[in-house]
Order: sequence, then structure tokens, then C-alpha cells
Amino acid sequence: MQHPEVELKSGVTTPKVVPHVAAVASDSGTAGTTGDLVLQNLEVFYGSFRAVNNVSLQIEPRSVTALIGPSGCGKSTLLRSINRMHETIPNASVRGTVTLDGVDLYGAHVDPVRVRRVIGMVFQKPNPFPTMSIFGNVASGLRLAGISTKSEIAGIVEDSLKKAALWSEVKDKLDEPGTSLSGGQQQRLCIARAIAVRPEVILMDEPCSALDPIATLKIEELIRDLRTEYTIVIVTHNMQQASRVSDSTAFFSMGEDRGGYLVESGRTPQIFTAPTQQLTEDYVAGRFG
Amino acid sequence: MSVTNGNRFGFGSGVRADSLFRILFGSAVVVAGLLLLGVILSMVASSMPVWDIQTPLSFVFGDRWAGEVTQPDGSIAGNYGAFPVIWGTAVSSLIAILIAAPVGILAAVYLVEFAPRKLAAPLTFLVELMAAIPSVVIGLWAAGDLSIRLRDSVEWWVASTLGRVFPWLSEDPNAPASQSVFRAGMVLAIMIIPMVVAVSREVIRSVPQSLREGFIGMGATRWETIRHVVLPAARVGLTGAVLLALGRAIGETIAVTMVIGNAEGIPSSLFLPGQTIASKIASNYGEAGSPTQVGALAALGICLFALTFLLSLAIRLIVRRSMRQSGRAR
Repeated sequence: MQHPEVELKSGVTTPKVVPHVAAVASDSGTAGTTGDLVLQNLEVFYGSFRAVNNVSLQIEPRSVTALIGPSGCGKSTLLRSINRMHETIPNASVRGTVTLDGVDLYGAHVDPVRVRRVIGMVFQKPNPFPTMSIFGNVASGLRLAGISTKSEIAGIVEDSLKKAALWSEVKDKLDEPGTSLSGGQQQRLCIARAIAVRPEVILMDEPCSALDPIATLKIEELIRDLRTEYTIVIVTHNMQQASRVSDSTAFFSMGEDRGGYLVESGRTPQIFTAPTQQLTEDYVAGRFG
Repeated sequence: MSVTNGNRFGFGSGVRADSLFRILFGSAVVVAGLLLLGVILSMVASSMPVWDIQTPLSFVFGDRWAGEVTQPDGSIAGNYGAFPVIWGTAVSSLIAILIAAPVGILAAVYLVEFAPRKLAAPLTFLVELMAAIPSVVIGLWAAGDLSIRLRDSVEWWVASTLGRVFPWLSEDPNAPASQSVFRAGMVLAIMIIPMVVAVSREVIRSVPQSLREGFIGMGATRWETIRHVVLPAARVGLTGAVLLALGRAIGETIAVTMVIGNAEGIPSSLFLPGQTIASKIASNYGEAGSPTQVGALAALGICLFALTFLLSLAIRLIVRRSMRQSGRAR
């Protein structure tokens, strides 16, 4: 069995980049893909400002990895560079590599649009599309992926809503607007929407920060359930949440140049009880941040 | 300076200042209301003579602005039909909006979604500058240089293709009209495009970034995001932008007067001269001598006012609906 550990791997040579982009170019769910995500010497820039500084991180497939750290340490920026979402911001650029199942996601022939189908994303604030129904929200990604058979779409929508633990609450009102749901339900709808396109990896950017404690708990349960099928990377400000939901944790801090860097990473219990760095210990003990 | 205990809290000067300003600002509102009322009353009053010789129905639907004659017994007989100018207003505004709405909205989409920041700022400034060109200047340009160009390009092309099928789009190839309803519509389009762009740009910008990111995050292209998320979310506001511009087109006077030709009656083709309510009032007022003539023009003014009033009512209803929608979205 693969030893489930997130390791700090600075100075490791870049892995051999698979020259073709089959895993990304073909639709997800292909056999042999595991959601094996590796960041190598990753640096993210906004113009000339380096927001993320030389991060190397191997993310364990089919598990939950939490990115924690004080505000402004580049966690969200790092997360967004994984599925190339940060490219929607003008002037943003990346140095280093992100590989998924051996394919360099920043390779010359990789289409960022396709990358985002394989690496889905859930955002801080629930963002159901206001002009679409509950059904339409979940189906929207399928139509983008070219699935047009009605029965197939209906099946996937039901399946995704069940996986997101929302089906029983919405099955009788699929035609109502997605925005008619409560905040927690909206966020589960967004998770269902992300699941529907069958990604390998799901990125979550503080998915519970806009939710009340009960809704948060439901989302956390859901995250625990989903990790059997997906590689999940979650940014959170809430250390209790990180310790509850994640298998591995990576702690980030802000350097002198205000750029974020990785302090250490490891199994979540180890990071929370026996960190190797003083900074980590101070942070998880609540002494700053 | 120390404050003595006796007047720690002052002597109510704050309260007095508040009530003073309340009266000041309140009276400004009253003045605005009185002005509106005054305009309406004065229009109705000066239109009265025309109702002595005809009914409002025959005025609105009459197809000829025939004028009046003084009978031997001193009474006045005549008929003023406003239908041709109402038609002219509707058609020229419709042409304008059919051109300006798509062009303006697409330009706004470009400015918000595609233009790099360095380009978007000067382009936006340019659009605002366009909106600030006085209409008489546009009229001068339109009546001179632009008119000939439009006639020899767009109008000639439409007339020689569609015009063969639809008589209302045909023109006499040997004597193309130097002024036409169609050209008025084109000029109006030029005038209202900046307005459509400016308002649409604000509307599109106000679509939350999180919605765009949500769709892009599922593997959508920029265009798919605009088509399926941004434009649907902005559609109510965009309708408002178009109606606002339509209101301006309906009321626009001077540039239209300079290019429409001011001919009586409904022209058989869009490429022939016509007249709008506003251009009719502007070009006839100077010669209007008798109270009935002035009254007929005032009645036209009421028609124009009613038209724009109904339109702004529609805008308000739409905006309120959009507020309710966004309230639900929260």
C-alpha cells in the first residue's frame, strides 16, 4: 500500500513530463487515472509580485489535503493555480510545474478549459447560477462537456445530487431556481455541480466560511464521504475544520517579501500534535494568525 | 476653551439646523413637482383650441395634417391628424434601437469581458465622450457628409436587394432621396449607441465575478460563460438600458429634423422623407399663428410626453422586477 504521506519535496528534480496530454485531453474518468497531483517548485505571480514562493507538494490521491495558514499567505492563490483558475486574473503567471497523473498542466498543448473539467472547484461563497434551476445548475457542466442525451443528463444529475447529500431535499423541486435554497444547500448544490462533470480532483476554497455551524458540519461530512472517490484539496481558515476533515495538512506562512511559502506538511495529526517547525506549532496553538 | 456645564449639550441649535435643511430640501422637491404639474397643465391648456374643432381620437389616428380654414361665419374648421408623425417617431426609433441595441451591448461585453485594462479605460472614456457630442453637431455631420455616404452605401444596398421584394424598402434609383426616415433612424442609432454601451457596461460589470468563476471553474470558455451566465444574469438590466436609449431616441429633435426631410404623410418607403413628433413640433412652431395651430402642436407634445412617460413606467417596472430577482438571489 502506498504510504499516505504528504512530503515536503523541495529540490526534487522535475518528473518526466508525459509528452501527450491524453489524460487531460480525453474526458475524465479514464481508467488508470488516480488524481495524482504533484506541485513542483511552484511560484505564482501577480505582475511582478510573487504571491506564492517555491512550493513543492505531493498531494495524496483519494484523500483530503488541507491548506492552512494566516490570511494573505497565498493559500487560495496556490489552490487556484492548480486548475489554472488564477489565469482569469490579468497579469497572473506561474513558474514551476503542476502535474496530474504525470501530465504537466501548464504544458504547451494543454487547454486550461479542459484542465478545469478534470479539476473542479467549489468556492468560498455559494454561487449557484441565478438564472438556472436546481436541475439546470447541476446539468450546466454536462452540456458544456457535450452530453446532450436527456436521460443521461437526468441520471447524472440525480446521481450527483445524491452524492452531494442533497437529493432528498430537492428531488421534488428540481425546477425551482438554485438561488431559492438555503446557504448550506446552495453550497452542496455547487458541490453536486462540480461532481457532475466527473472530475478527478476537487478544489475547495474555504467552502464553509459563509455557512452556519450546522450547514458547515454537513459539508464536512460530505467532504469525508467524497474523498473515497476524489482527490480533495481544501483551503480553510478554520483549524478545527482542517483537523476534522483532512488526512494531510500543509501549513503556509508569509515571508518577508509578503509572498507565501510552505512551512511544512504532513499527516494532519502530526501537524497538529507534533509539528517539526516552531512556526507551525505557534499557529496551530492559536498564538498568531 | 472649556465648555461650561450649563450648555454641555448646546441649546438645540443642531435640531434647528436640521429642520432648516429639511425645509430647504423639501421645498426643492416641491418646486420640481410644481414644474412638472405646470408643464402638463400648460400643455393641456394650450391644446384646448384644437379640441374645439376635432376629437382626440381623430387627432391621434388622423392620417393627414390638413390644417385649418376660417369659415365665413368666423368659426374655424380643420383637421390635424397626428398618425403620420407618430408613425415616423415609432419607425425611426425602432430602426435606431434595432441597430443600437446589439452594437451597444456587444461593445459593452467587449469592454467588460475582453478588453485589456489598458484599453478598456480609454475606450470607455471615448464612449462617454461620444455621448457628450451635442446633437446639433451630429445633425450637421449627418445632414452633410454622412447622409451622402449612407445613401450611397447601406441604403443603396438594401434598396437594390431587399427593396426588390419589399416595396417599403425600395427607392427610385434615378432620384435617391437626400433625406429619409431610414437615415433618421441611422442617425438616432449613432446618437444612442454610447448610452446603450455606458449603461450596459455598468449592468454587465455588476454581474458577480463569483458567477463567472463558477462557470469557468467547470470547464467553460469565456464565450460560454458570457452566453450562459453573464448575459442571462444581466438581461433585465440590459432591457432597461435599451428602453432608456429608446426614450432618448423618441424625444430626440434637432438631429432628426435635420435629416428626416420633414415631409407630410406616411412615406411609401423608408428611404423617403418623413417626420417625427419632435421634428414636427420643432419645424412648425415658428410658423404657428392661430391658437388652433399652436393647440395642435401642444397636443403633439402631449402625445410625445405620454409616449415617453409610458416608456419610463415600463423601465421602472422592469427595474423593480430585477430588484426582486436579485433579492431572491441573496
